[in-house]
Amino acid sequence: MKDNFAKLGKGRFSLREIPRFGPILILILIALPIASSSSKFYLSILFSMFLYAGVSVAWNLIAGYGGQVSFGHAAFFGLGAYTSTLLFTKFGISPWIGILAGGFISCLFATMIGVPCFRLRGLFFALSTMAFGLAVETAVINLPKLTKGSIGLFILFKPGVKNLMFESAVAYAYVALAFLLLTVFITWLIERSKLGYQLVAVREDEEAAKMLGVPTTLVKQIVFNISVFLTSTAGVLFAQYYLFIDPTSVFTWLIVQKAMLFTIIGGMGTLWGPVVGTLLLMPLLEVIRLIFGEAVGFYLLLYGIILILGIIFMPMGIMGILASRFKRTKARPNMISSDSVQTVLEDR
Amino acid sequence: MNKTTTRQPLLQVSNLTKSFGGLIAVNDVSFTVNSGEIIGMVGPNGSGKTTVFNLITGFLRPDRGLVKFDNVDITGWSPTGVCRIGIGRTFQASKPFLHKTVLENVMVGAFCRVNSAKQAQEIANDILQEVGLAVKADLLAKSLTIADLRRMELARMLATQPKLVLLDESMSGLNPTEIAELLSFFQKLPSRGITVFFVEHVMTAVMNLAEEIIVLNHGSLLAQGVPTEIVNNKKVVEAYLGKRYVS
Repeated sequence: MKDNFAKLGKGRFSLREIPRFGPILILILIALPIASSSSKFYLSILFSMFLYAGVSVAWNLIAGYGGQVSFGHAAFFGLGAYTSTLLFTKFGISPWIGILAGGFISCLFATMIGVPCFRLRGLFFALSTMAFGLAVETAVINLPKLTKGSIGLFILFKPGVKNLMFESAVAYAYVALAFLLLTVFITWLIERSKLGYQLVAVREDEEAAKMLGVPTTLVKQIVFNISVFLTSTAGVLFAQYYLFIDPTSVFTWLIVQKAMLFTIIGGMGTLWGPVVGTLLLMPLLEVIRLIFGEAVGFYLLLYGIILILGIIFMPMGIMGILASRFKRTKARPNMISSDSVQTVLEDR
Repeated sequence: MNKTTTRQPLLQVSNLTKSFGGLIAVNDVSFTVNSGEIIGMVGPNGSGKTTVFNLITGFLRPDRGLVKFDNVDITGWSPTGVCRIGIGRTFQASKPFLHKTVLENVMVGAFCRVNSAKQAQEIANDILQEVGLAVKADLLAKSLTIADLRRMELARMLATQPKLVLLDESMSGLNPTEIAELLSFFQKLPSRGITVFFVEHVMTAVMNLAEEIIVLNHGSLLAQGVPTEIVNNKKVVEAYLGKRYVS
């Protein structure tokens, strides 16, 4: 009887799975009109929504699942954008290769941050990533020979799949959506793998994890590298869409702030939390920015207020609350009797 | 297991010393745990029992001394390496992964030896059955009682397939029934090829379980012997109760 019941719990689709797959439906509903739409404004919002959702998912990997809060993801976003743009404009190398090159450079820096920091606990990692973000931005501004400094870099518009540039805004929206789905898919894979279990164990209790044979430093490093690789990829897409990058647009604090805001409201350490958070908040904030356009910075104030309220009143986030609703919180009902009988028998 | 066969030394600790600033927490301690044995370690509060565990499992690095396991020098190894070579440990204060289910907690232990989630789940389910927690496999760890938390930590540790387990006061906070249950569970471990080395304050547990007892006082080895010897040892009585009670 026990075996039968154990089988029941696995594999089959149940109500508990709704928080896991429901958002796919929402995404499709939003994505459907992409093809039919010709509104440049609508498509541009969709593009950045998918892009930031992807960045949020990537940030959530290390911060939500791993408990290692990074304030430096903007630097990796910018590294991706600058690497691919420089390769393309100077050597005509395809941005597809730029994605790999940017990701590689980002991983290199991530390893340089991780090797000393992941051995330590506490604020070291957060502070180092913050310092790294500021340092990279300053470096890019002060290397005008390579990066044109604050002037920024233009990309000549040469449409084509090879150049990751498209005539229609619809294509860009789809590329961003594909990127978002890729980040979610990778998170999903990690979540159910050995790496994912070990990562969450590190977040929950590092000492206990070590004593269970988890190579904690290595686990954090691998996931951090995956996270920055994806973030740097988002940077490349950003550059290919706007065809212009400068330090203020790709190294801005806003990238990290948005990722944090969307992830925390949506649900830290949940698969769909960052996506749901982005889809809910970003349109809202765009509208607010339009309405209060004259009051410069007002929407930034709102970011902060929403973030603080979210942390105080729903630290689990939307998906966290939903998941706990659907999660089985009682003992498996028809096993109690047989199991306790066995315990009693064993005692005799 | 045949008790008359000569037992191989499994854990050899020699001249272990650790000081924190001016305080010598563990002072020149040497002992051997043979495979298949159940050894208890007792001592008044602050005598260095947990520090000895931390030195063996790599949470602390000894100033001096050697720790050998299965004839491999593991002095200064990381806890991760210590676990992988076959030493499991529970902590004095429970360290559950609170926001994960009981099953997922145990699976983390199982991942020490296997890579696939399916295999890990099978191992975890089997062990949960054994410790009587299968009923609660899907509960979040934060909803467990103290007794169940202790069981879960035990299951998690056993899932790493250790040859030697270090149990740090795993009976504290339990009621007599629960203690009796755990006792019979621990007694069965050597027959599965698991050597037990435990720290305990619950004396019924120490006297019933241990084949041999190590007594620490002020970081030094005070006495070593079978339980009946230890309770009559004058130095031990003095360390616990004071000179007045030494008859």
